[in-house]
Amino acid sequence: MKRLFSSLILAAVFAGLALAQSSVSPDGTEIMKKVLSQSNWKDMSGDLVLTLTTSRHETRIRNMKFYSKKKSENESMMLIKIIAPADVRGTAFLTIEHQNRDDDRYLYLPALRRVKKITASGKGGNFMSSDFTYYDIGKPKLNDWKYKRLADETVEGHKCFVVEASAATPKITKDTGYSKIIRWIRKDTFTTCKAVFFDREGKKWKTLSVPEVQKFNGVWFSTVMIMHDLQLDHTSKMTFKGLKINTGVPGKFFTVRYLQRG
Amino acid sequence: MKKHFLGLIVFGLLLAGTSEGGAQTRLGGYLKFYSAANTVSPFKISKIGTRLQFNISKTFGTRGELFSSFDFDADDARFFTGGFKTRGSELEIYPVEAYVNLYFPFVDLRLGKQFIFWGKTDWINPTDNINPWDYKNISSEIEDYRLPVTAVKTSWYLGPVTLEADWIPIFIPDRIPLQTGLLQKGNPARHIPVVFMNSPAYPTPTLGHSQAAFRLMHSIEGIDYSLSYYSGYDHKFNIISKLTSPDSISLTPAYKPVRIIGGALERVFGRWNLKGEAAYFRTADPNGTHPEITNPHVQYVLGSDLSVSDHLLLNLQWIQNIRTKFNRALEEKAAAQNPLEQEIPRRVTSSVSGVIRWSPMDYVTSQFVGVLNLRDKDSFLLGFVHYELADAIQLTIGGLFFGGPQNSPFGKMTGEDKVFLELKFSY
Repeated sequence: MKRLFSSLILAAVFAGLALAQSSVSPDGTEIMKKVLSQSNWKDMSGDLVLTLTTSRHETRIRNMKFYSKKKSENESMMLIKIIAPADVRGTAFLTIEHQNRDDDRYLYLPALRRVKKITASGKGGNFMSSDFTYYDIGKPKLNDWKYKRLADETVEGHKCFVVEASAATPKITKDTGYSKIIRWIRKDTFTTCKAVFFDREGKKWKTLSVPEVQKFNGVWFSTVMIMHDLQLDHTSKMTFKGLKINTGVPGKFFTVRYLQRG
Repeated sequence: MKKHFLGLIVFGLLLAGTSEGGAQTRLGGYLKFYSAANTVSPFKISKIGTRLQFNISKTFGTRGELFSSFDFDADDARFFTGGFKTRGSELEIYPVEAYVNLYFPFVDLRLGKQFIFWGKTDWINPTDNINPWDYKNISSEIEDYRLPVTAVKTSWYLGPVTLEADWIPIFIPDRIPLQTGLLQKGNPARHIPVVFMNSPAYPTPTLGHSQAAFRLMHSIEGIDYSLSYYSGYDHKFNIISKLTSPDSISLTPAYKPVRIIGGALERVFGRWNLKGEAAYFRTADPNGTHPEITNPHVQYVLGSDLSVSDHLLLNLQWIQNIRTKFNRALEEKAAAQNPLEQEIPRRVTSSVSGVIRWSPMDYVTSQFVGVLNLRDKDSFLLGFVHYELADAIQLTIGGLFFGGPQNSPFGKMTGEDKVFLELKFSY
């Protein structure tokens, strides 16, 4: 009885130690799992301001309205309507992700009065001519990358985990354009506050900084993101305003019918 | 007439001022300076002026929308050729589009002056037969080279299938330069000294002469396809000759009925977008026995887009036109007897077209569109470069060039080579 009792105590001590160990020192995969679970939204809508700055310091501003909805865990739909500048007002973009085939992408150009199906140039294609790619604004799949935890750092006063993600297969690198991504994950919110992206050749390509995150309906969301292309010396800033999360955006929005509406 | 249009615009502004809850009014448009000149000596300036496009739209929540777009176009080249009348005589005011949208759960309705474009291929669309072309105009705006039609457009959303049914009560022909009156150049083989070109004979605007179009659209496993039917009139005229006396002939451009059944499909494979479109044109000469009326024919286009990168898109297409009823002996005989010198038509004509869209640097986009007819090696090239000077300010420089033997379709146009420049501010 005494032996059994001491065994139970030992087991409890070990279990406690293991638990403590995992809570203070999770590995890269565990951290990323937690990060991805933070972005557990079903639908969202809001306004997006995209500020593009070239190496010649010329700046262009695009104002748009966006709607997004999850079809399944790894498939989502997105509708974007451009509000400004005036010359492209009314241009609308619909993307429907598919797990087993190429995504459907449609572009409505009011100047041409036509909906055009456009090629899905992979997740690595630029989003609205910015330095963000479709991959950057989507939700990454956990198993597409192999994670390695690096030494913790402090960024802008926030204590961060540092996780290095290497592409699990050459196809991931080909699709996303990235061979490696190092992310700084805030310990308090489990959101990315900084990231460095490496191109297919392993050269440093882009840096992401996230100066603002906000919580909506229990979901942390990066409301300001700045991507700097080091190779082209371009910068794109995404600012989300009036975000509404999980308010029940209707599925009919993500159709060619709604794409053409003013 | 101008007062009438101005009144409409003032009415629109008043309407804009009465927005209530749920309704949203937007004003917009553009101001554009434009100029175009022939590249062939004596380098005639064919267009130079300013245009204000004024758009008003008002949405009523999810129930409907009003939209109107008017052009105020002042072209000094037109003023010059028209002669001096008043200070405003070079000003043209015309509606680009003016329609009402009504939205119901399963049906969208659009009534008014509008563009209805069909088809999936680029630039050459056998199934796109509702809006006529304006061959007199050159510009980077689509409303300059297509003409709107007054139509009732209904779109029925029946689950995965969309049905479109359109009614176009009034026929509008293509805008083609046409010389009427006494023609100097006849067919030397006929030795008829007097050839007179009459004004065109249009279908009378009665309900019986209205046009209808239907289209079914569906998507399955990433393949988007459509089937279509059009019953109306050919926007291009046929020239019908009539012997009016032993030494004179009159010619009448006549617009003949046509029925067109067609289909289009496309499928994206990674960076490739494969597309095809075909249509059968059942003309007013279904047996191919009337040499002055277009033979029934099939036109098809097969092609693909290739997104080489985010900055470079290529498109290549193969186009073929096959006359399904064709009697060569009859056509040769008719050509010899025709009062105008005329080429003998061919049963099959083949062409290739290509588009290159390239953004070499930030805010600069260039586009080159070319068509080459394989038999005569005659060609057409349209190229332009857009530079976004600032948000909503765009400079466009372009040119339109024709080449080929003198009697070929594009070769005939070599004197029409032009360069153009536009500066556009959108608001």
